[in-house]
Amino acid sequence: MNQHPDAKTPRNHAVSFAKGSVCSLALAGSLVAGLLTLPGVAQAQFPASPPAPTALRPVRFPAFVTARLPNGMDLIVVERHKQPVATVSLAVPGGNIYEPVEKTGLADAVAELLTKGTTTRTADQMAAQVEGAGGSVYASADPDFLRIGVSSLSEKLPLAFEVLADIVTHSTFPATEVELQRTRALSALQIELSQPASIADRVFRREVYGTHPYGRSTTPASVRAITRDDIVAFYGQRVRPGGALLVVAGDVNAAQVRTLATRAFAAWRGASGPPAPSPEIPARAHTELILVNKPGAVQSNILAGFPFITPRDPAVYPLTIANKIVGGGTDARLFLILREQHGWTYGSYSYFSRPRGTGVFEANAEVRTAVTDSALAELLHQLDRIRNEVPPDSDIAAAKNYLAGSFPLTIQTAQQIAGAVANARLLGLPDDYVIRYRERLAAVTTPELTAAARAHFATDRMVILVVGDGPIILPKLKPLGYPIRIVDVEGNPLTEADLTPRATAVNWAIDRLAPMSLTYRVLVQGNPMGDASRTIARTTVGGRAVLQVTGTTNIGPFLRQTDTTVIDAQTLAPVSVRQAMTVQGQQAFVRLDYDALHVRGQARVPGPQGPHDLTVDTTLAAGTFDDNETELLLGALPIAAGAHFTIPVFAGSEGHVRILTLAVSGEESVTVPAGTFACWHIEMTGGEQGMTFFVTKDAPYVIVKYAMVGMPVGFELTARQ
Amino acid sequence: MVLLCTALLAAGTAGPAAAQQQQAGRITFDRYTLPNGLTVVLSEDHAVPVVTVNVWYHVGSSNERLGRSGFAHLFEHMMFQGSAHVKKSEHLQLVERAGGSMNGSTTEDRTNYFETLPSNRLNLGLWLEADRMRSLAITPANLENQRQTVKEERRLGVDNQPYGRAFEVGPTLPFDSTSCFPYSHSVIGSMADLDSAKVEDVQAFFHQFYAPNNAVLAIVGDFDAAEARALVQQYYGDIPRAEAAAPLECRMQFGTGSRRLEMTDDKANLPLVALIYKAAAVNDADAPALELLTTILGQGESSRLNLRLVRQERAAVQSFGFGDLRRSAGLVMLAAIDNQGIPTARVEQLLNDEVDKVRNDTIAQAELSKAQNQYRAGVVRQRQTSMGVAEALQSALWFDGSLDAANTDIQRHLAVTTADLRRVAQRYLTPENRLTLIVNPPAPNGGGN
Repeated sequence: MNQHPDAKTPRNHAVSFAKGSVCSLALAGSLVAGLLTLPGVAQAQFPASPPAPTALRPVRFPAFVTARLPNGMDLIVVERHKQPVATVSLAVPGGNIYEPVEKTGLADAVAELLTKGTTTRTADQMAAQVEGAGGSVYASADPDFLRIGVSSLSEKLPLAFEVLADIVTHSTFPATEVELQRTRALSALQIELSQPASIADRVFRREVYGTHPYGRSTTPASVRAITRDDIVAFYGQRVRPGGALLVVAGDVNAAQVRTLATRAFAAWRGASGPPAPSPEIPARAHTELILVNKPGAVQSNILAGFPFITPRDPAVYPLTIANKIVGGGTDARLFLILREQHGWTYGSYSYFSRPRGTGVFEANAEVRTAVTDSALAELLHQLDRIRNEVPPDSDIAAAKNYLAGSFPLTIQTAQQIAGAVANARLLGLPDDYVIRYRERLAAVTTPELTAAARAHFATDRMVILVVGDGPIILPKLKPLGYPIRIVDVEGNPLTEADLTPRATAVNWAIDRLAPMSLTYRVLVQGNPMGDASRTIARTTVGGRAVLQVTGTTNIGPFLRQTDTTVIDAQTLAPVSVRQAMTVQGQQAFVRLDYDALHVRGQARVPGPQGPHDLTVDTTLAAGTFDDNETELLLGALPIAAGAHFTIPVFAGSEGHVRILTLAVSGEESVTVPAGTFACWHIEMTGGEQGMTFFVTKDAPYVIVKYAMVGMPVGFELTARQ
Repeated sequence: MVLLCTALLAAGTAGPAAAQQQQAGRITFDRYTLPNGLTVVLSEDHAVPVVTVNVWYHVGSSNERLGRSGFAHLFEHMMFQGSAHVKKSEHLQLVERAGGSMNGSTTEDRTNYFETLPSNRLNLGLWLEADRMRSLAITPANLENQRQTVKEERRLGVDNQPYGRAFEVGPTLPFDSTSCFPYSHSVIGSMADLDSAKVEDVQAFFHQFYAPNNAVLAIVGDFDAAEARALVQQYYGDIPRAEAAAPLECRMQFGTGSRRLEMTDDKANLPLVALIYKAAAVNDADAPALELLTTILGQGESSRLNLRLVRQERAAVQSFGFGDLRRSAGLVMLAAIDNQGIPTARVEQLLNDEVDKVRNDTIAQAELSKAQNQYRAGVVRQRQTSMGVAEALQSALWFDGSLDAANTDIQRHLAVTTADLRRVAQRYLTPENRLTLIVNPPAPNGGGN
C-alpha cells in the first residue's frame, strides 16, 4: 500500500514518487481466510484479546466565525494556529446544473481554465507567485457549485486574497488554453467510457434522475460543443459574489481576514444568476432491471438504488446509521455476506450522495460473471432486510460508535474543519449541524431508525443496473422476475435479438479447404515483430476423416503460441483443440474434446492478475464451432458482396459460446510479401477481439492479411505451399 | 562535514523562538527507552480526540544480504498475516471497525507501520503493534501466500505500469554493488530471490531486525502520557532484545564517468529521458542545498523543467526532478516524457541545457526563496495531522540523528544561499556523475530488450 498522504515529508515525497513505497495489504484480504497455527507464546500480562474501548472523549467542534461582506458574499473563518499555513477558498453557485444540456461539461471547463491566466498574470506567472508563497491554486466543479481555492504560508495571506480576487474578476481564458482543455477533457472522457464502473454510474444517474440536471453526463459531442464564448458567458453569469461563500482557514486572524476580504473583493459585484431548471425526479411504479451490454466483459458491475433525501431532511441521522449497517464499510452486511461469506466479490458497499437537492442511495458490487445472479439476489435481499427488519441493538450500537469515533479523524486540519463547515452552509444546513452532529446521531432511537428505513428505502421502486456480458448474463437475470430493459454502453436501447444474433445457415464450400501451408509475418505498429504459420492436413482420427490445422504464432518477447485443431472433414464440426501459449511470461493452455454436442476440457487463461484455471463441461447447440476454427472457416465461407454471416463458436478460454458476426464490407487489392491478391474485406465482431480479414476472392481462398481492430497488430502472408 | 552542519544549525537557531515558531510549528515531544531497548516518543496534542501509533523498524532493503533481495518488503507483508492473538486479515478489520486507518510501507532505509484511531482506541493500536512485534505468525503457508502477493504487486505496480521498470531499476544504477551493495538492488527485489526464501530465513530476519532495540514507537495526538506509558510497559516491556545488526557499508564513488543506458518498456507509449546523478546522503551538509536545487528544477508548475520543456518548448508532456537522499548516500533524478513526435535527443539536450544553466549561472535569490517557501509549506502541511507529526519525529530521529532536528531542520534549508546552490550543482550535477537512462516504447528499429 502506498504511504499515507500525510506521511510525506518533501524528502519522502520524492522517494515515493520515484518508485512508490512498496507495500502490503492490497490483496491480502482476497486470499483464503483461515485460522493460523499459532505458535505457543506465554506472556504474563499481555492481553489475549483486543483491549476494550475506553470512554469516548467529547469533541468540541473548533470555533468558527461567520460574517457577510459588503458585496453580498458570506465569509466563514476558522482559526487554527498550530501551523503557519492558510487556505482561502470560494464556492459560487455555478456547478453543472447551470449548464445547457447540449454543453454538459461547461462548468468543468470554466473551473480548469480559471487558473490559466488573468489580464495581469499569465498562467506561468500565477503559478510562480503562488508556489513562491508555498501554496497552490486549484479549481473544480461539482453538480451544484464551482469552487476555487488558493493556499499559502500564512504570512503570505494577502497574496492569496489578491490572486483569488484577480481570478474571479479578470480571468482571460486564452484561446490556446481553451484548446488544450478540450483535448484533455476528450481523452479523459475516452478513458471514462472504457471503464465499467463509470459506465454504470452514468447510466444509473440518468435512469434515476431522468431529465433532472443531476442525471446528465458529458459526451464527446457536448465537450466539442463548448466554445470560448460559452466559457466567457458562463464565467460572467455564474462567478459572482451573490450566493458565494468565502472560507478562510488556518493560522489567520478573523478581524484581519475580514479587512483583507473586504478590500480584495471590493470591486467584485453582482447578484447570482438565474436558478437552474429543476424538473421533477421521475417517480417509478415498480422496480426495473437495466442490463447494460458490454460484450466480452469478464465481470459484472451491479448497482441498485433509488432517489433518497435532501441534506436538510432530519431523517439523515437514522439513515446514516441504517446505511452504515447495510453497506457502509467492511463490517457491514453487504461486505460480510457477499465478500467474506460467499467470496463473490472483492467488495460490496452502499452509500448515499448529498448534493444540495435530492440525493441517491446506491448499493454496489463488482462480481464475477458466473455469480451475477446470486450476488444480485443477495444484495437486494439485504436492502429489503434493512427496510423491513429491526436491526439488533448490537448492530445499532456498533454503527453509532463507529460514526462517533471516526468523525474526529475527518476534522484534523484547518482545511478539513473549514470544508465541513462550508459544506453544511452550502447544503442549506444550519451552522450547528457540524457542532451537534455526533450528539444527534447518538440520540437516534430504534423506532426512529426503522421508521426512516421503511419510509426511504424504496426497494419496491428501484433502478437495478447490471453492466456485463449481455448474452451470458441475461438468461441468469430473467429468473429474478424483474422487468428487464437492455441498453448499450451509451444508453441506447437494444433488443434481446441484438444481444444474441441468430446463427446463419451457411452452405459451406468445404471443397475449398485443401491441404496447404501458410506463413505470415507479424507487424506491430508497422514493424516486423514476429511470425506465424498455419498448416492444413487431411488425416483420419478413429476412422473419421478430419482436417488437422496446426499453427504457431510468435510476437516479439510477448507471445509464443502453438495449437492443433482437429475438425470433421465433412461437417466442419470441431473434434479436439490443443493449444499452449506463453503470454508475457504467463503459461496458459486450452485442451478441449468434443463429442457430438458435448465439450469437455481444461483451460488456463492468462489475466492481469495472473493465470486462472477453467474446467469445461457443457452441452452446445447444434452447429456450434470452436473459436480456433475461425480462420479456417473463412476459407470455406461462400462470400459475396454485402454478405453477412453469424456463426456461434465455443470460446474455450472463456468457457462459453460467442456469436461471431462476419460482414463483407468491400473488395480490395491487397499487396503482401507473398504477392498481390484480389480480396474480400471482412469485419468480424462479437469475439473477444474485433478483427479485420482480407480473404482471396478466388482459389486458394486464404487469408492474406488480418489485423486486430484498435490494436497496432497485423499479420501478412509471406509464403504459401 | 559534521562540523559544518553543526555550525549552520547553531547559526540558524540563534533567532528568537517566536520567529522559529512562525517558520514551522514547533513540535513538543518526550522520549524514553525501555530496558529492552525500545525507544518511545510521545507528543501530545489534544485539539481533536485522535491518536496515531507509529512504529519504525530500522530495517529496509539496504539491510538485505546478497541473494535475499526483496526480504524487507516481503516482511512488511508478513506483518499483516496474523500473530499470536490476531487472526489473518484481522488487523485491518479491527482498525477499520474502530473507525481508524492503517498502513505500512518499506523503503531502502526503514519500514513503518501505523494506525490512526479515535483516541479511546489507543490501547487497540498499541496492542496490535505489540502482538506482532512479539509473536508474528511466520508459517510456510503465510510465506507462500505473501510471496505470491508480492509477485502480484510487482505485476500490477511495476511490470504493468508505464515506466515502472525504469523507476525500479533507475534509482539503483548509481550504486555499485561492490562499493555500495545496500542500494544496488531495488526495494521490491528479485523474484528469484523471493522464490528461494525459506521460512527459516524469514524467521532469522524477524529475530534480527524486528526487535524492540531496532524499533521506535511514536504516539502522537490526544492521549494521557501516564496511561500511555503504563500500556507500553505492559505490552512491550517483556519483549526480548536482539543483538544489534552490523552497520551498513556504502562508499559512493563520485566522478567515475558518465554512463548511458537504453531500455524498452512495452507499457510505455512515449519515450522517457532521465538524468540520474550521484548525490550526497540526507544528513550531509550539502543535502539542504541539493533538495532546494531539485525543487527549483523539478517541483511544481513553475519549476524550470516544466516551464522550459513542457510550457515553452512543448517538447515534453511531463517533467519532474527530485532528490532521493538516503541515510548512506543519495541521488538526484531529472526526467521528462517526450511529447509526441519530438526526438529523444532534443529532450535530452533540453534537460542537459537546464542542468548547465544551474551549474554556470547563479540562481536568483527570488527563485531560491520560492523553493524555500515550497519546502517550508510542505513541512508545515505535513504537521497538521497526528500521523504527519509522528512521521516528522521518526524521520528526524532516524535520518538526522536527533528528535530536535524536527524543529531545526527547516533552519538548515533557510540558511542555504544562491552560492550554495551553484556549488552543489557544480559538485554533483557533473557529466562524470551522470547516468542517462532512455526508456523507449516497443517499436521502430526492432524493440526488444
